[in-house]
Amino acid sequence: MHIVDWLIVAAYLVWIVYDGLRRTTGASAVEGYFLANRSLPWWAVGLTVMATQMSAITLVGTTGQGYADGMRFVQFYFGLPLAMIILSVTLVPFFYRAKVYTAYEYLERRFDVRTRTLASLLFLVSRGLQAGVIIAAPAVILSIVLGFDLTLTIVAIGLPTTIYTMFGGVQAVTWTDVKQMVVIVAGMTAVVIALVLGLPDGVGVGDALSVAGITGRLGTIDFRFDLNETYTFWSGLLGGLFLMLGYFGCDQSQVQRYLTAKSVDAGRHSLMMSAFVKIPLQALILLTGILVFAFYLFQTPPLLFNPVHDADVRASARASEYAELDTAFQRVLEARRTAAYEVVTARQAGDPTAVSAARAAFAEQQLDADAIREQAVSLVRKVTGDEAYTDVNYVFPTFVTTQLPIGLVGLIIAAIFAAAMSSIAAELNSLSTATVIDMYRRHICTDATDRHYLRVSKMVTGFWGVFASIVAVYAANLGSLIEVVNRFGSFFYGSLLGVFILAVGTRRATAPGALWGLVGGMVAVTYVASTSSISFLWLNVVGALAVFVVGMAVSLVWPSTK
Amino acid sequence: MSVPAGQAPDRQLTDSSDTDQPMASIYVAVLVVEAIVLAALWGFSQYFGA
Repeated sequence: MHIVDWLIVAAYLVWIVYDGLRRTTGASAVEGYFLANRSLPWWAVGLTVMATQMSAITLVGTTGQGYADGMRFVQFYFGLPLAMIILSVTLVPFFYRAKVYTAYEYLERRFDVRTRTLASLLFLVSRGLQAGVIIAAPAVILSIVLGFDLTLTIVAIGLPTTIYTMFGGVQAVTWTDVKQMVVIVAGMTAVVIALVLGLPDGVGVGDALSVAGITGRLGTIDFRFDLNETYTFWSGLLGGLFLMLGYFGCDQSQVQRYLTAKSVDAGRHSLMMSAFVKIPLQALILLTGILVFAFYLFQTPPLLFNPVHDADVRASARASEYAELDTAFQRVLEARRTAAYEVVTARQAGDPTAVSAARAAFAEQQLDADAIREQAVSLVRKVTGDEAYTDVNYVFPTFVTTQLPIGLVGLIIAAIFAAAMSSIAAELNSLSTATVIDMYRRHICTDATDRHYLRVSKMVTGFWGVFASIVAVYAANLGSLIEVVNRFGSFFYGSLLGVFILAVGTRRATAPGALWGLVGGMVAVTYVASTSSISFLWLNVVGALAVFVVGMAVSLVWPSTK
Repeated sequence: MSVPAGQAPDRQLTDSSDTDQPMASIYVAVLVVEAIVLAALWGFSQYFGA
């Protein structure tokens, strides 16, 4: 990376930390530190809700997903607008009027302290580990693509985020998130423009997309009802609905965002921003990945997008095998490029017969190219011992650092940092809130001054920042752990959602019902996940329904003692 | 209460700010926009994927 790009990234980091630290004046009491005194405008809250959800791995992984698999991942978000409407009608006013700091605090008012504590503990364990993964995942990719030390990359992401979150509180998180969303959207827009301008003369965007469409990458909606498929219309609409209800309604990292809004309506409007924008934004990010694919139809892509693994295999005992694959790949790429130009020429000539023949020839070359790349990835797995290796996450960063002009590279790398930091900051802030409000102030030190709790809150935020960075160092070297932690989230979202459905959906539910329902939901999810190949999106439905059924059954036979 | 962007107010907001205006028209708009976006995505995939 050029020195100018490094300077842009460094300037971005300094600017964000400075901007976060100047919010410390709004964090002179616990309510200001955690909830900004419930004073923030809806649009800022809406942007921080979106920034929290969009981690760096979402940005990098989604473009890679677009490159390798096309648009169908967008179906994952089909349930989000409905979830936002349901939450605006139900949980948002409940939380806001209860004047709670955490979602789990509300559970004590409705049920008992055991239900609150268990729910909060689930959040702390899951999110505490995930905070490490959210740092580790982009750090691994950036360190490889930029040739930077992994631990230093983790520190470069984790340290500034911890500093401004620790001292600035939720005000710092929110107002830096606003700027980080601007950086992300500006960066992605610049990439799309660069990709369009990077197409060869005589090849329009429509032509390029039409060629990419031959591979099936433009296929967006799959109406098959298959519980084992993650990305279908129905799994996105129904499974995704439950996942989004759980994430935005029961996960403190999101609930805390809209609790900072200055009114119930401002909180609702902030969720409506995501409801309107999220699907088009995700479609744009996936389309960027497809445009990268289209770009490489006319340029030469590397056999592997991970330069470190590429070098490892070239230096291994199986280097000659890899070299043969590379030679065959170059030959197929040349034939694919010729076929792609023929599709464009036939399309522009308006000759259906020629278009059909050219598409068939292109499809054949694409299959050959995919097969060679698959063999290369398989070879990497054997040589490096990294059985979970996938090339997808390296596509976008490698494209950025090798194909974009100086200056723009720095902006995009800054955007990836922004995506990582915005998610981590919200997580640290919410972890600190749940630790202090649900644990420390509730169980350990129940009668101290606001000043004491504020000091403890800052220390706990710092603790979680250090903890997440340490987890990141270990998670970065244990690829399978990342998957385990990510799957862990889908084990408890549905169950937590079930408890909140019991809380606001029926007056018959009792405290024992909620507690045993929560336990029953997690047991049901664990059983279904371990005995079937059902897609993880449906686990959220299973968890919520199991909690509701068990919770109501226990409530009927075991009345509340409260 | 008017609060400059990025600043916290000195006192806690009163309940008068806790309004509950009708949101039905916005919810309908969300559903209409989602239907339009899904239709556009389907049309997009049909046009370029065919």
